[in-house]
Amino acid sequence: MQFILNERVWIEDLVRRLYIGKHPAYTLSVYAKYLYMRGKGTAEIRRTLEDFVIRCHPKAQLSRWRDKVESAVKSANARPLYEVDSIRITEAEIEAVQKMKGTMQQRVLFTMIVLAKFRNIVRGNDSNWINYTLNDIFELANVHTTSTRQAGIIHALYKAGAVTFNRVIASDSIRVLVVNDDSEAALVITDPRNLGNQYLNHLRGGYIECERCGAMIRKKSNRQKFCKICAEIINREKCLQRYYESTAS
Amino acid sequence: MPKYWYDYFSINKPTDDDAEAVAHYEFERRLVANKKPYFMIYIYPLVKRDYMKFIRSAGRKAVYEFGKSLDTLLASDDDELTGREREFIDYYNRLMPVGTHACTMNRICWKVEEAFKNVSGYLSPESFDPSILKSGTPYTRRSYDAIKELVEEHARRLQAIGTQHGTKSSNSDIQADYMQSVIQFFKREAEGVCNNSRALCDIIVDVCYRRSGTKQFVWDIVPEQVIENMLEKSNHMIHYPVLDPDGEIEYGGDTYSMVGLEVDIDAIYIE
Repeated sequence: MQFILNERVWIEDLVRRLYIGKHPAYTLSVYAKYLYMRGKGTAEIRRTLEDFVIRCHPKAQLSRWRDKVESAVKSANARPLYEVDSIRITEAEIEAVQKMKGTMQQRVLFTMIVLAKFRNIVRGNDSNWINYTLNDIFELANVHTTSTRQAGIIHALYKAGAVTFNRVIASDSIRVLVVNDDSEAALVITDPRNLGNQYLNHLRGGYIECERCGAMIRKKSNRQKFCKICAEIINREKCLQRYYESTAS
Repeated sequence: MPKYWYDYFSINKPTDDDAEAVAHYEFERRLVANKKPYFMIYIYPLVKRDYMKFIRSAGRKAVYEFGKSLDTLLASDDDELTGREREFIDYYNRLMPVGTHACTMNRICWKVEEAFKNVSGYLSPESFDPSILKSGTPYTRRSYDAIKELVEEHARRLQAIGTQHGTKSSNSDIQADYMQSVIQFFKREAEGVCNNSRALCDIIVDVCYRRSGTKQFVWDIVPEQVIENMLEKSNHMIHYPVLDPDGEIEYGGDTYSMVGLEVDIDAIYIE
């Protein structure tokens, strides 16, 4: 499940760059909602989505995208776009996070708090339930470990009274019990990526923002400017540029 | 089939306290077959999917909440369990998507599972020697690399076909025709890289059997050469089992004996 704070800004950026993203079905569904909010009809939304797909992938076969486009058009009026500018994390919540043993547990709990507050804002209540897969939560928390250890971390959080679960056996919903809005703001989250790194940066520093994409990354050397993905892209662009310059001369 | 045979909520609840109506209602509820029995996970893939999904979710939940695996929890004695653990097991049994009562077919199924518990259907790649498929003809590194790219492209193409056509039987003829045209294309490309059929066969076997994954490319492109190589190595003799009451090989309740046959390679026709 994707975690986007402000879907309107996000989709406008993707449309401008003609990039369909890593999860095309989600991108199309958000774009359909965006067009619906602008007063477009079903037929026009469908045409615009197909046009967007072709412009992102000129060799795409529209017949293979039909199901995704139809699903997006159908769900255009299901809910409004999420437009959350920032999420405020309070001192009390940071204290509750710091009570956990080890930075892995702390990062995971911090991520869960952010997700719970986000869901509270979009749902308009204080239920503090989240329904993301563990893989998504741990990915956002920048914790890369085995599924056995993931389960161990969740159990430790449960035993510490930080989270609880749905009584329905087949449900993976988690309720975060340490959300506390009645406190001073300690940290404001405006970037939904690398939440674990943002927490560690707040705790002890040593992290920088990638100059190309803005993601929070651990600084491994004094000269580092980009995250691994952006560094590869820039390196590839520079190689191509050097190649063209050398063949031109 | 009437809905109240398989759906609890479709049974008409009695509106008054008439004893006969209440008794009939309770009788209908006892007869409801709202779940398929356990052994049907081997007949209906969707039932197996739901069952495995439930087991995985319950297993995860057991670790998250109790710090124990589901098997440990289920094997514990009742007096060792907390109230919440007992409730969890109760919900686990009630919400199980298949019926796990000890009916005859379920018990047979469990016996068979127990018998095959330690049998793995997977043969490790090291247990098969692919040199029996080869002729030993030398080839160049360049040819090997070119064929390797073709094999990878072939695997990608097969995956795309599988995704595009799905499992709809109405598309099977179209899919078969398309597969044939894909195979002919790769055959031409492979022969363009190396036109010596014996060397080409050796290259393709080496490329496919040095990696994990499908070996379909061998059997799409050079099946005749592979058979020829195997016959050469066995002096053109093939051995196969035939039904024989006095045979020494027992299988499926019958006995077989091995019979040898000399094969003329020129007379083989491979479809």
